[in-house]
Amino acid sequence: MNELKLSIVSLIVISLLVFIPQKTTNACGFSEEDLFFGYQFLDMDLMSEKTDFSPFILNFSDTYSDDENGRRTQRNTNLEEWQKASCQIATLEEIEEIIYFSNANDLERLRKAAANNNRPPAQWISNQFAKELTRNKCTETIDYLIYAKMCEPNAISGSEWSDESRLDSNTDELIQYGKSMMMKTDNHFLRLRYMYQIVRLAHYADDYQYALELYNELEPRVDETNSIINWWLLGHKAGCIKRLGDNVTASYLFSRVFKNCEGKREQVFRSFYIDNDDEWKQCLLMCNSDEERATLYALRASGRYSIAVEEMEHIYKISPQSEHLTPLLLREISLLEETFLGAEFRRGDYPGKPDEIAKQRLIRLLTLVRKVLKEDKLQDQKIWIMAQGYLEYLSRDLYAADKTYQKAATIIEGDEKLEKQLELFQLVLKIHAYTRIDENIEVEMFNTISNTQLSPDLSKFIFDRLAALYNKQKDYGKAFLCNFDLHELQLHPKPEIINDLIQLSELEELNKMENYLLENKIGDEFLSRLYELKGTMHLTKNELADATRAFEKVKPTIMNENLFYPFYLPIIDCIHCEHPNDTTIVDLNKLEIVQQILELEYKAKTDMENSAQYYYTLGKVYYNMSYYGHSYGILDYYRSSSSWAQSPDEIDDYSFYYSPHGNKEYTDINLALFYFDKAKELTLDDEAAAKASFMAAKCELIKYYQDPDTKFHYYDDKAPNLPLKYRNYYDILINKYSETAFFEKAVEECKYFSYYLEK
Amino acid sequence: MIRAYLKMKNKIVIIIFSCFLLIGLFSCKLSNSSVPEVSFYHWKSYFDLDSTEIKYLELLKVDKLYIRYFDIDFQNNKIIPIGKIQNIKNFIYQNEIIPCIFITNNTFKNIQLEEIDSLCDNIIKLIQSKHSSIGKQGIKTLQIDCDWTLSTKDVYFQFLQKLKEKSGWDISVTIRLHQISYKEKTGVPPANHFVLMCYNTGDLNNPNEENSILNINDLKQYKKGMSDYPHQLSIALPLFSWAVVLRERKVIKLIRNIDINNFKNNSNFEVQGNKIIVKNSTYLKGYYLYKGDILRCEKISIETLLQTAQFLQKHIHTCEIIYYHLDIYNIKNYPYERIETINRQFNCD
Repeated sequence: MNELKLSIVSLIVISLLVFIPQKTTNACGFSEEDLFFGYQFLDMDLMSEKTDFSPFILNFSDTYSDDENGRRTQRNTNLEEWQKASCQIATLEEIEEIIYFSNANDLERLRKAAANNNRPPAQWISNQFAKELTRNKCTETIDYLIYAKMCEPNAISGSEWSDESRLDSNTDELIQYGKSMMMKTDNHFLRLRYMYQIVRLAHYADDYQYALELYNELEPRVDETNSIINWWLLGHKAGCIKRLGDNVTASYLFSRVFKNCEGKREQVFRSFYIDNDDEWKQCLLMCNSDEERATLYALRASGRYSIAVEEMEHIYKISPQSEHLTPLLLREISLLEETFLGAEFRRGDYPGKPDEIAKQRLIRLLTLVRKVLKEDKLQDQKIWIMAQGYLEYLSRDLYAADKTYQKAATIIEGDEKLEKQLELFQLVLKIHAYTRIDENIEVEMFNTISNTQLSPDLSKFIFDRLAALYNKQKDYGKAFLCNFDLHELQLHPKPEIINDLIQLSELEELNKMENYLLENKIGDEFLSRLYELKGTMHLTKNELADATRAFEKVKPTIMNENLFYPFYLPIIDCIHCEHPNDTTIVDLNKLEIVQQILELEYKAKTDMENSAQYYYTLGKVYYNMSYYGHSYGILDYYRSSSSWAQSPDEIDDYSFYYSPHGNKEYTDINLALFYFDKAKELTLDDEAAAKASFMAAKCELIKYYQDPDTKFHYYDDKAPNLPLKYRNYYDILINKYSETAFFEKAVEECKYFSYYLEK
Repeated sequence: MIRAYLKMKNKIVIIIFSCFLLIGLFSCKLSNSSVPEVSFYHWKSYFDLDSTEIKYLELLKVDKLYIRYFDIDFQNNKIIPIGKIQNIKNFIYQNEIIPCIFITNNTFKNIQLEEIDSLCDNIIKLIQSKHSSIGKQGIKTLQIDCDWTLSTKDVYFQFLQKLKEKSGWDISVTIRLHQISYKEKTGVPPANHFVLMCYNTGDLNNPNEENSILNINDLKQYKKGMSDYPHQLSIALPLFSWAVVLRERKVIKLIRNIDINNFKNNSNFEVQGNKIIVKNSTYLKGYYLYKGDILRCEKISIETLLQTAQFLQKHIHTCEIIYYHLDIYNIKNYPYERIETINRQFNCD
């Protein structure tokens, strides 16, 4: 029976404690969308028309993810070859339908139609490629397509969940059949494709030696050098060689595929493997040209965490005109941009302040860029000179950056893409160079934000820069609004910001930027809302006269947006309960509440006969307005247990991701306790004294939970045993007022009190 | 006369009882039954158990091997098995094998509720296929390793429940230390067996971390959760080492089985305490290191393991120790006699 009681008590206590702030590790409301990874002003697309390495090298961060682009490129290249072979008669989609979306039966029917000079099967009746194949009786081609379909199950990965090997018992039979078909045709376009199917079959059957033998046997029988299939075949050859343990040869061959076959780049990058320095040296020795060696360095530079500037130095040394250099340059700049851009003023935890190592990397790249430009060995210096300017800007040499940009402007004239990029770079430099904000700059920045489409990161950059400068010139209100809004100010109201904003709002004329900040960040009726916040801030400090003065300046419509009933006090706390269905309850706005508190305080001091009752009412109001009462919203715009949790050392000033000053919680229960104690002391009525003692005891219990030494956790499976120093009022209630009706009611309704009594 | 007989009878009963008690106590000591069962994880993608490893298992009287069969991840918009163990068909092991699967939390972040059924079916099918390919019939237990979080708890637990129902197997789950500390939030999975992973206690990504594998002081923070966990816990202890590669203060790579002594006379490196500084860019085990990279060598000493065991035995009553993981390199660093000493710290009575 006792156990049952204890369980009930535990449940009640746990329920109660849901409303007590808890110490946990995770904040709620955090979203990845709020994360900031640095501004990006470098257009990664600058090189896309100049080299086909850009998509791979510049998307290095996506490496190891889906290679859908690679697969798509491979398929398109193959389709283009088929289209060329069929004299451009069919579209790529029509060819794709036959080659990739058909099945063996469809193709058999197509072959029959071609052999008998009939029209293509019904589903392809209007397909130009099918029509071409039947009209020209291309049975050899269709035979190849049928053969490719036969090989397909052995070549493509089946269900990932299957444990079956791709090795089929008929693989060799299929290989031999393919060889015989290959030899039957004089069409080298088809021979090459037969060879590809055959070598791939052996490779995927894990017979690497056999695959290489087939490669060597069949290669001399094919005379088709311009097809992309040659590179696919070389990839298989390299894969088999790697499986047989020769990393050096395999990696060399992979590098050739990397250079020549865009669709295979991702696959090759993953397969490229050098174990040690000796293997790397041997691999370099295998290369037949400096550009091949440069490709090896480019491959090594393409890793997610590679320090590409080192590889660029090697490449520039051996092959200064290498097409790998510029994509690698852009890649390095994008990494440095993430680290350095706006590091002094940007808001957000990522990517952190640049350290000495990052600075060295920046200087190293800038040195290389200057060297490259000075030696003038590049065919196209446009991007490099802009890069020099941007790197100078990132290294905070604004003067040099400006000069270089001016020089770049004359060189890039006519290149629309580069001109747009330079315009953005120059704008960023200009904004960064501001040391003070005046009205002209404010209006200019407002116009820039409103009209410029240069970069999605630009407005954040501008506001971060403005915020830093506003703070420097002590325009705290405007500084705050550059990055935050009213809600974030409500989380932890700061007087210097509120007063500054009120002063700004009361100006007769606002410029565009000021108007934008106030209307967008504070909202309509911004002056009233700021006074409402100011009044609330005073109320949290119990500065009632100041609070009244501020609230009196608030428009009634704003004042009445939120109403409360702090004079209502049930025995059991209920923080988020609906409004009680009690017609005697009067809902009041904050101004009315302050006025009533002032009146109660006056009466408590002057009407001695009833002062105990007034003090008790004051206790109720302060209890209800605290974190623990149902009218916490009078003081607190955002009540959160996780705010408590994040910073247990600072009892009422908690860090909060969204707000620069944290989310303040109003947990001080001392004033409520003081008034309940006063009420208990002054009353002559035992019932009233019992009630006041009970509420004072609840305040004491809260103080116990707030005690840093308290080890009680909300999930502890028992009710807390109060230490002696927190038992004063419960003991008074028990020892002096146990005969009262309220006492009985409290025992009945308050399970914790009942449990306490039993203990 | 009768009274004397009764007295005599009582004495005989007491003597016999005492004898049984002594025999019982003595026999307990002789059979060494208080030492928990010892098992190992095999956590590689290629199965290759050589004679040294087999001998090591025999010496430690290991009757059970936990083998990772595959991982599961959400990739390219589908849930797929990755890193399926290779060469398992050539494997002969007479004792019990517990198949293990590592499932990424990302899988449960992306799974649709209606996909749970098919995921269970696929797992069961693939596990059975792998298991029967090594000539093992019948699976008693399947272990699921997943670092679930609050956001994935519900769906992960539903998955476990469904897997248990569909397979009819016992489900064993791994529990991270933070999951026992905040069990009211992270919950207790609906499983039959629970393995507490007593490693990876530190912050791997913190450049100032000295040893992220196991720090006894970090472990102590979790002692409350250990003693009041609602199920018996098996304990997984680390037997591995690695070098954490730091580039520009970011952790970019783990290189396993690095012996710091091998770097002392190499001009490309400079050894400073447990760190190796890369002085010239160079390859190491297939990974290209740049000048300035730092390798933080992390290894668990026998002494640390001993202290850990002494601490754990005070707070967890366990009957199984599982070492992570079986590897020829680790065997050299952790002689079986020393491992036996660790095992003896625990008491399964």
